[in-house]
Amino acid sequence: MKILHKRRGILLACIWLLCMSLFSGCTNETAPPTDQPVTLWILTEMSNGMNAQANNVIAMFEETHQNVHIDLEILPTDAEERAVRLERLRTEIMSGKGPDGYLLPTDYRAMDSLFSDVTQSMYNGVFSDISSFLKHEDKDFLLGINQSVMEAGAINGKQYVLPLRYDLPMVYADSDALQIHGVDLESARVTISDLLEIACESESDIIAACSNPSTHNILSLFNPAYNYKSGTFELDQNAIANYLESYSIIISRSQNVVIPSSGSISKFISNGEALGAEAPLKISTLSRLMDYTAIAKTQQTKLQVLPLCSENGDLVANITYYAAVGASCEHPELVYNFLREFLNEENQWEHNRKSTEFPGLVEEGWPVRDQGAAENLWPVYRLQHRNIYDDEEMQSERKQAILALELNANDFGFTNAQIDQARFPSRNESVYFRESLIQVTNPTFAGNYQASAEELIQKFQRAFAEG
Amino acid sequence: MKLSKKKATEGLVLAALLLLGCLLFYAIPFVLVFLKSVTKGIGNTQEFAGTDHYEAMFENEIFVRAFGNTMKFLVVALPLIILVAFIVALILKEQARKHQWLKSVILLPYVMPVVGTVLIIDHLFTATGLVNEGLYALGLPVADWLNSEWAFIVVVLLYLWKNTGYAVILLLSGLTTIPEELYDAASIDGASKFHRLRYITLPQMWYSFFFATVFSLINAFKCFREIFLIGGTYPHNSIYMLQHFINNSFEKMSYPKLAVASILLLIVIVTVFAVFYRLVLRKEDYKG
Repeated sequence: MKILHKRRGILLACIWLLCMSLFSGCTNETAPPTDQPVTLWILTEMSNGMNAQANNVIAMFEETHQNVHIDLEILPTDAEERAVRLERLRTEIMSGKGPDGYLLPTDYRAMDSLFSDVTQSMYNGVFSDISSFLKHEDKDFLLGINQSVMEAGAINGKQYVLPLRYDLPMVYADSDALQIHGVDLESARVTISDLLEIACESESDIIAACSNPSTHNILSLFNPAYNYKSGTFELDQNAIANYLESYSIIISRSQNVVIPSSGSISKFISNGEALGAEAPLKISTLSRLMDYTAIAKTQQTKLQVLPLCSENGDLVANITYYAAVGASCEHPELVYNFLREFLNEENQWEHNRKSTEFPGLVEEGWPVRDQGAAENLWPVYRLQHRNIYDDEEMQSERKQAILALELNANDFGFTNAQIDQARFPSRNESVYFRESLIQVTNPTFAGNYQASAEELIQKFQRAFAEG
Repeated sequence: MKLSKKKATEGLVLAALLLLGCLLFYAIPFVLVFLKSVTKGIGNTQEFAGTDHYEAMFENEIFVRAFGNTMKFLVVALPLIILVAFIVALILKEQARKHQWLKSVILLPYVMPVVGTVLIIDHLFTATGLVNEGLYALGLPVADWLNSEWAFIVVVLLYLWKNTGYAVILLLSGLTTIPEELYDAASIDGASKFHRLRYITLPQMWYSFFFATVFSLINAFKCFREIFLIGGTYPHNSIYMLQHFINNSFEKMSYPKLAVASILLLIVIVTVFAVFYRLVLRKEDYKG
């Protein structure tokens, strides 16, 4: 203490220096005036469809905002480069210097994502609140956008994320072919447990094989795993164990059954694959609605389109693509004005899409502006298949039939069914679930489904507790 | 001895660079981490959260498990390493004069690259590793060493194997400073080996024990690299450490959680070492 007393001056100088260093980070920096040139840093992933759309929007936006330049950074796809870049980005975001905006998919090619759990990132304050901008939005602009899906990007009444695309688990079935196999899907909705029960009890191995619901958004078929508000974990272990057991039975019965993919216009044109006696039903997604509808109409078969609901009967949408304003953005309104362009009809319904290299919806997701989406997307969608290979024999008839096919709202069997909730699938969920599915179908598996379910839940609990 | 003002100033100037480094890379980041632990949000969304994060952390089962595992590892491994290192140091004190190369050999595991260490663990303790093969050959039951409760024992053994050499060197240097005359005098007075150990060696080794413990603690945290390479991001529950929790929280950008975890760990370590240091000071007080 004597030494401290004698060196009081030096001690005070050190404390002063420390405080100055700290307070320098606390200055209330005001955003520079908007008449000065502004560069907005937007982060996105490599994507044929979305990158082209983004470039179009950037060109239009920079033309209308002369002093604004958009710097679109695409994350690397090489695993090592990506790991380094993501670590740096996370450090920058932590220090308050992250990107101004994000245009990202929720699950990118099974690679490590910047935000592995978007909902948790919202709770962690990584995104800016854009509620005030949405409140002043033109009501006509918001008309036609699915509000249930938009709610996924809001917490406690504040909007943080703009969902741009989503998907729903769906069952597509050829009614007549189903009856041949002794199955009748009567209700307007079918739950995952109904379907698994039908599959396990059916005498037909084809029905069992077709009922394999190992989609990567499998957790939307259960009650929500996490209650982010209360911070509790709510997934039911018994439901998981029952599912794993049913899945194991289905897989064992599917060993010697080859099911044609029957889910895309491309395969229909090149191989004639379609729903029928060999594949009477298929579990797929809403983004395949136009494919199944067009093929059924061309074949003049009766298509049944049913949303696949979760255990408790809820229809749960999974957000596949989203936009958000970064928490450290100095021009949040400007970034919001840029990102909102992805919600307009032109971009949602791909009116400006020119490329036919990769037929399919942008990011394989259904537009969140879903009122009238199918009939407005169809003219663009069918043209994407004009370059699909055919050998000018039978295939050319199929191709011509598709290209000439007109579809209107009445042709689509699914018309904006009420979505009960929408969520951002977490990448960890799909990885852990896939590991469990592989485990229970391994020949060395001992058959303890409860233990597998418990292990899976522990992994989820850890991932949730750390986020 | 009083220092003149000039000499004191000279000393401070020489130490200024080091002090600046400590300030920039330790003191300021520490304060920033503390601020992160009492705020929520980032940038424009940042707001004061008080003790909310700390309260939530004590209710977080996974954090409690990670913290418990880390404390369990330290409570088991630290005393063990000091004990083993001390025994080895006592033996080496007699032999080192005849075999100087022993000191180098004992440090080899410490300087071995992490990847090499992990490869050895892999070869020994995987399901088809040498240990299981040996047990099977002897008709004994095999175990899943790295994916069961046994993983904790493997990690402790790994830590002891890798870091005992370093602790031995620290303790050996303390042993060699004890004057031989004291032992000679004690021998003449009829003191046994145990008496010489208890009344001459141990009382003069407290500072050495303290430093060996500090460095062993630092090495214990470095052990995370091997555990991470063996068990991955999510190893078996028995070796899920606080560093895993902090690492994974960083990847999920849950900065308050990792800040709180770091602060709580620091509080525990500083408290334990403060108590230990006071004990050492009291033990050394007899020297006047």
